[in-house]
Amino acid sequence: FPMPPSSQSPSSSSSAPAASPTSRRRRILAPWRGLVKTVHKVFSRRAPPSKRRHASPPLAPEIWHQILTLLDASSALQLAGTSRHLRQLVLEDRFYWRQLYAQKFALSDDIECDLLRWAIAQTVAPTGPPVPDENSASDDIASASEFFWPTLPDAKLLAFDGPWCRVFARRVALERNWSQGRCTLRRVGVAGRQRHRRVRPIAASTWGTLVQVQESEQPLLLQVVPTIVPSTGADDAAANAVATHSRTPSPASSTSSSVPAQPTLAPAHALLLDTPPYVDIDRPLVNGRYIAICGQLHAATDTGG
Amino acid sequence: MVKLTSSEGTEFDVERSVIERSLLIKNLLDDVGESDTCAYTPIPLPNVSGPILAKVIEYCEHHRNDPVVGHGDADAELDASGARVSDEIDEWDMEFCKVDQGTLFEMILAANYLDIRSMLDLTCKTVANMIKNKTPEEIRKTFNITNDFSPEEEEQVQRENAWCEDR
Repeated sequence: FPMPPSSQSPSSSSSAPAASPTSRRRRILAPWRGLVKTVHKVFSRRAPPSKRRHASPPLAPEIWHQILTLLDASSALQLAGTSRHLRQLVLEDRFYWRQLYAQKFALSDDIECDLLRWAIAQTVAPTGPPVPDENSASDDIASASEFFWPTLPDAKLLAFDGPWCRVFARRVALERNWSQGRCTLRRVGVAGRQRHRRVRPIAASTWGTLVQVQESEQPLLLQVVPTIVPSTGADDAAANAVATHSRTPSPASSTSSSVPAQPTLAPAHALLLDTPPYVDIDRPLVNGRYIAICGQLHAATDTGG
Repeated sequence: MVKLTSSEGTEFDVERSVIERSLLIKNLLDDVGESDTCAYTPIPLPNVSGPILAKVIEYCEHHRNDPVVGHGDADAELDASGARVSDEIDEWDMEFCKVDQGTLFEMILAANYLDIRSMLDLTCKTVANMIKNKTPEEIRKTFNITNDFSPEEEEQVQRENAWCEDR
């Protein structure tokens, strides 16, 4: 229907000659009618209120979004467990999950930025569009093992347009598993000419360790980023075996005293500092930094209490 | 004074300064201009029933002296505070929201429609607090939500949701 833009009302009412009260009233109402009709059209999409049970309370998605932003992730997931409609609504609310991510894991340094890249890489196929299913924790990790790495610059990471629920889930699982020492270590070694170089820890955080490999030309940063794999009992046994093995004395062990004491990360430190050969350098990343897989994390769903 | 007409045709008289907490009505009045014309021209609100409109006016009258919160402000507040403070509802507001659930949702829709940001915040907070610390089954009971998951789906949902539990 015709909707006179409200901006026209001042000019139209001032140019029209004074008339009877009826026409004056109609003239004044005209812009309102347009507005009222517009909002009515938008508003009337909602379902009529009903006492019957329904798939979800009759609120528009943008209002659900506002309610969601008042909930922590745990409550949001409880809500998502109530019905199909609400599940879709909650899990696909990218803005909500992105906001949660930014609050919980502030992108204050390179490490956090790389961890976000890692989490994004976990949810995005190497070449295709974002993985459509929202299965956040127990899906196949084949794509991650192919080492896709997002090239988004730091400032644009939060603009990532993808399944933020899964990104957040990955990052939460990573944080928890590392903090609980729930990782399975593999023997890894420095490839080729880097073999048996001195490794010096530069920074340690809850997620791992940055080390510097001394070589004749220039220092090399290795960033240790774990991957999530499904947990099995055999992995635990392997973890113990590797951890034991990694205590073998080595030329680099003298540097271990400079590592901040973080008992829960002991296996990773031991591997990096005490076990030559050190780290497989899979492939170079930007800015001369390299990424290396040194540990494997258990699946997030297998928390085991 | 401003006249408002609810969906049933009931007329409400309310001070202009009070009802201008509704950005929709404020903009409407600003567009039309002189306030003396408003007294003769009821503003039709076909989406708001009489009882809900009465609640809206009650809210606006109680909060008539509060600073008006804009959309941008509210977003900034969320980002800065990190942990959001959904339980910080003052006593009057809490009492105001002690209504049956259908009324509460109608109030949300009315606050959204009339663009009364603080009332929308309040009612959404109330709903959020009704969700917090509840199991899915308790939430379903609270809001009369039909569980349309198959047993297999429900098991899968519970399994998937475990990732966020703090253990």
